[in-house]
Amino acid sequence: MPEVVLKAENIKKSFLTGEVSTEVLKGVDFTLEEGEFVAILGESGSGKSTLLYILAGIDKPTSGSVELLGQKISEISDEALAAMRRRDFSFVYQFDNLVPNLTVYENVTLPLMLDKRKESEYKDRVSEILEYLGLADRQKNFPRQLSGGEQQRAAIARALVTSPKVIFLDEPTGSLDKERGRQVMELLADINRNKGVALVMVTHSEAHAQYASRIVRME
Amino acid sequence: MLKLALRNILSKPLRAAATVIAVAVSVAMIFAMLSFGGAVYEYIYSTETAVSGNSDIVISTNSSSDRITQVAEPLNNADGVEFVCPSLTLYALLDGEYVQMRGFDKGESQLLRKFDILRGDARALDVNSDNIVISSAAAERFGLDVGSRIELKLDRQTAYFYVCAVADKSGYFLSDAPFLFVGRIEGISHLLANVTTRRICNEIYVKAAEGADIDGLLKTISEMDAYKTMLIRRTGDGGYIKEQANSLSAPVVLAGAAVFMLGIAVIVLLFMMSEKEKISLISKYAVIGATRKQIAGIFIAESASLALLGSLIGCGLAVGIFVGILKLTLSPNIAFGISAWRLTVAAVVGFVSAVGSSLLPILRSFRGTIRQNQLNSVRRVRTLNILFPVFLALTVISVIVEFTVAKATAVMSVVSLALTFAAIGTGLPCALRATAKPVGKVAGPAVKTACVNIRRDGRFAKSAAIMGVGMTVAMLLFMAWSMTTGIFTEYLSDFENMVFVTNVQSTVDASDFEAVDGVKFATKIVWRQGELAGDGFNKTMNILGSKNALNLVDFEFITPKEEVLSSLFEDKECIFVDIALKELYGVDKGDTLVLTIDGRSREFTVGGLLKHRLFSGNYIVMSEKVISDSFAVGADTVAVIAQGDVGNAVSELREKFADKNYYVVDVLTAYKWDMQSTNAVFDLIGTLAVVVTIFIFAVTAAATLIGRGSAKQQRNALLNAGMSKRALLRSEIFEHSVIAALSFAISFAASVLLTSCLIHALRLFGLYFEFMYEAWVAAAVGLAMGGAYALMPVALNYKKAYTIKKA
Repeated sequence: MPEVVLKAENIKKSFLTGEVSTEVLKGVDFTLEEGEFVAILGESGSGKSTLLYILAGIDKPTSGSVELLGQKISEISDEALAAMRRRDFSFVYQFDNLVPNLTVYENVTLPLMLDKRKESEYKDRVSEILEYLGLADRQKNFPRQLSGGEQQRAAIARALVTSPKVIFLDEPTGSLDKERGRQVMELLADINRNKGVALVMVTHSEAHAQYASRIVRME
Repeated sequence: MLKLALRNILSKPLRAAATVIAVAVSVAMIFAMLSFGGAVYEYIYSTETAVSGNSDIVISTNSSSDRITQVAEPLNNADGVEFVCPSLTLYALLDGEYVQMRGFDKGESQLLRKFDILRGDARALDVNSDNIVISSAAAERFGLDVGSRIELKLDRQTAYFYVCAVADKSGYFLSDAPFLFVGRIEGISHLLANVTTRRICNEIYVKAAEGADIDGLLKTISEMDAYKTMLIRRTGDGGYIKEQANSLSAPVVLAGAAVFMLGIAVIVLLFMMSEKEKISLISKYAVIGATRKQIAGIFIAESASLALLGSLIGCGLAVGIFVGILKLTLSPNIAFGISAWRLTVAAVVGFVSAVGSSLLPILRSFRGTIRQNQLNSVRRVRTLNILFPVFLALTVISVIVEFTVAKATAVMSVVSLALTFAAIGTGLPCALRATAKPVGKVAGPAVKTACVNIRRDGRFAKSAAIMGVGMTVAMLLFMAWSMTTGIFTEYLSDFENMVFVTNVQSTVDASDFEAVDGVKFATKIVWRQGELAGDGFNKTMNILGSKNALNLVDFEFITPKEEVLSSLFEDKECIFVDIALKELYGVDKGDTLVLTIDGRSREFTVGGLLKHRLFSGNYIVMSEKVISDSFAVGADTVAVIAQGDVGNAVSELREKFADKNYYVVDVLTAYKWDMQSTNAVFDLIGTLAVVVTIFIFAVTAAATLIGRGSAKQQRNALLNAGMSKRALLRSEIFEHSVIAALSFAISFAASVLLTSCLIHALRLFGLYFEFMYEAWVAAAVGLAMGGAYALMPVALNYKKAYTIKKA
C-alpha cells in the first residue's frame, strides 16, 4: 500500500474584503500518495490555487488541518517548515519564480546553499538536472535573459534539485505557449514516472490535466 | 548570505549608490551639526582671547591714560609665574582713521599668540623698534605692503613706522577691528608725549606656571605694592567670554539637534523606501526554504554593507563639510578640532539607523504567510493612524504646559519641539491620503491614477514625511538667520548719531563736550562689566552707570517711566534690569540681587524693569553716583549725541581734545568692529540654512527616486493599458505637487509654533527673546523647496523612461 504523503481534512478558507467575507474553500478533503501525480482542475476563482497554497504551507486555512509527510503543518515550527521546503517538498509558481539577480545555476542551487551543503556534494547532480531540463548552456544566464519556457524549466530544476518527495505546481504552463506547455507537461510526467516524485498541479487545462494519474475537479 | 546580499546590491547599482550617498550625507550632517556648536564656541573664544593669548592673568591700569612704569620686574621671580609679557596698546590715527597699536618688548611679540605671516619677516621687529607688522586687511585698506613707510598720529605727536611683514587673520589679528599694528613698545611709545622712559606699558600679561593656583597668584599679585592700585583679573576663562560664546553657539546647537533628528529620520525612511520589493523577494527566499534567520541575515548583510560604506564615506565628507563651512564663514586660520568621538557617534548613529530600519520590512514580512508576502497583501496596521493622533494630543498637552507653567517653559519647549516634528512626520502621510481620497473621486484619469497611488503606495507617505520635516527645519534655519541678523540691524538707527569718548577722567565735565561744534548732548557714563547674582543665576552684565542712559537709547519701560527716572535722578541705591531676567529667573521689582564689580560685591534692590530687544537682558542701568560710591569706579566714558553729520562731530571732538589722549569713535563704527565675530556666526547660520536645505532636497529627491524604482512595473502596466506618456507625466507631477503643497501648508503652520518653542528653548542657554516670526522667509523657503520638488518629474525628464518594457 503506497504511503500517504499529504492529507488535508475539512479545509475552509475565507477572505475578508472590507466588511464582506468570501468563503473560497468550504470544507475540502485531499489526500496524496507517494509517487502520485494529481491535477487539480477548475475554473478561475474556484479556489484551486488557494487550496494548493494551503497544502504547501504557503498560506494558512481558516480552519481544517493539513498533514504533510506525517506532520501537521500547523504544528510545525517555522524553522522546521523551512527545512522541509529545502529537503522534502518544492513549489513552482506560474511565473516569477526566480530571484532576478542570481544566475540560473545560482537560482537552482539556492535551496542547497541555504541548507549549507557543500558545492562538491551537489555539483554533478545539478549539472545532470540542468542537462535533463535542457538548461546546461544557460546556467550562467540571468532570469531576464531566458525565455518564459526556460524560466519555467529553471524553476522546475530548482524544485527537483533537492530530491523532494512532493512538488507543488501552480499552473506551471500558464504563461507558456501551447508547444512549450506540452514540453513542460511531458517533462513533469517524466519526472513523476522516472524519479518517483509526487506532484500536485493546479491547472485549468483539461489537456494538461490528462498527464496526471488522478484529477480532482473543483467548482 | 553575504554573497546574496552583494548580489542584491549589485543588481540595483543606482539605488545602492543613491542609498550610500544619502547615508554618507546624513552621517556628514549629523557630525557637522553635532560639532558646529563647539566650533562656534571655539571661534568666539579664540577671537575674544586674541588679545590675551595663552596668558592667565592681566594687570591693567584703572584708566587707559595711565601707564605702568614698573613694567614686569616685580613679577619676574614670583612663585607660580612662568612668564610675564608687558604690552603697550594705543589708538593712533592713520589717514584720519583709528588703528590699534600694540607694542611688546624685544623678542616677545609672539609670546602670547603666534600669528601667520603672509609676506615679509616678523623677525625684523627685533631688529628695529620702528618696524611693525600689519594685517592683510589693513594692507588692503590703506594700500600698504612690506617696506611701506607710514605716518601715525596721536594727540599732537607724530611717529613714523615701516611695515616689515603682513600677517594673515590669525593670532592677535583675529581681532583686527580697528586695524591692529603690532610693533615694539620702544617704538610705539614715541607716540606718547612727555614720557621719560621707554620702559612703559599699560598691560602686563602673566602666564602661570603649570599646576600653579591661579586664584592664589591673583591674590599674591594684588598684594604687591607695585600693582595694588591696578586692575588684576583672569584672562581667557572670564565669565563674559564664556557667556558670549555660549549665547552665540546656542542657535547653532539647537539647529544641530533638529538636523541630527532629521538625519536619522532620513536614513530610516530611505531604507524603508523599497519595502514592497524587499517583501516580495523575501517570499521568494521563503518558498525555497530560507529560514527567518537566513532571510534576516541576507537583508542585514545588504543594509550593513551599504550603511558601512555610506558611514565611512560620510566620515570623510563630514570632515570636509565641517571644516569647509567653518573656514568659509568663521575663520580660515583657526584649526577647528575634529572630534573623534563625534565622528564615531555620527557614523554609529548612521549605521545603526540604517541597519535597524532595514529590519522593518523583514519583521513586517514575518507577520504574513509566504502567499501574503508574495502578493504584498499582509494586512497593514495603519501605524500612522494611531501615532499621529497620539503625537498631536501629546503636542497639544506639551504646548499648553509650556505656555502656562512658567518654570517648565524652557524644558517643555524642547519636548514640544520633538513632539511637533513627530506630529508633522506622522501627520503628513495621513493628510496626504485624506486629500487624495476626495480629489481622486472628481478628477480626470491622470490625477485619479495619482490619487490612487498616493493612497495605496507607502513610498509617498515616506517622501512626504521627509519633505515635511525637512522643509520645516529649513524654514526655521532661514528664519533664525534672518531674525538674528535683523535684530542687530533694525536697532542701528538708534545709534547712528551717537559717539563714545572713552579714556576720560571721572572728573571731566560733560558740558565741555556739549560746547564742541556738532554736539547736541553729552553725558558721563560708567560702562563696566560685572557679575549679577540672584536666586539660581549668576550672569555677566554690561553695567551702564548714567542718569541719562535711558535718554540715549530707546528703552521700553515696564515699570512706569516717571518712577524709573525719578529713582535714577534721585540717585537711589537701586538697579534697573531687563524684563528678560523676570522671564528667565523670576526677578521682579523689589527683589535683592548681588552685583560684583572688580571683586567687590554689594546688594541692590531692583528698582524697576526695562526692555530692550537688542541687549536681550545683559545690561543693568543705574545711577553714576551709586556705582561710583559703591565700587569706587568713576565715569570712564562720555556718550555724545551728534547734531547733523556724526563724522564731523567725531573730527571736531578729536581736534578739540587732541591733547587729552581721548579715544573718540562713533558707535556704529565701534559696533561694526565689535560685531565682526558675531556676524561670522550669523554667516555660519546662513550657510548652514543653505547647506541643510540642499541636503534635505537631495535626500528627498533620492528617496523619491529609490521608491519610484519599485513602481516601474506599475508604470508599464499603465502604459500598456493605454495611458498616454503625457498623462503619466501629469500623474507623476500631480503626485509630487500634492506632497509639495501639503508639506508647505503643514510646515508653514507648524513653523509658527516651532519658532515659539525654539525661542523658549533658548532660555536653557540663559537667553530670552520675545516671539518673532518672519512669515515671508518661511513662505519663500517653503515655496522654493516645494516648487522644485513639484517640478522634479519635468526637471529629471521622467518622460524619457516611459517605454513599455518586458514584464
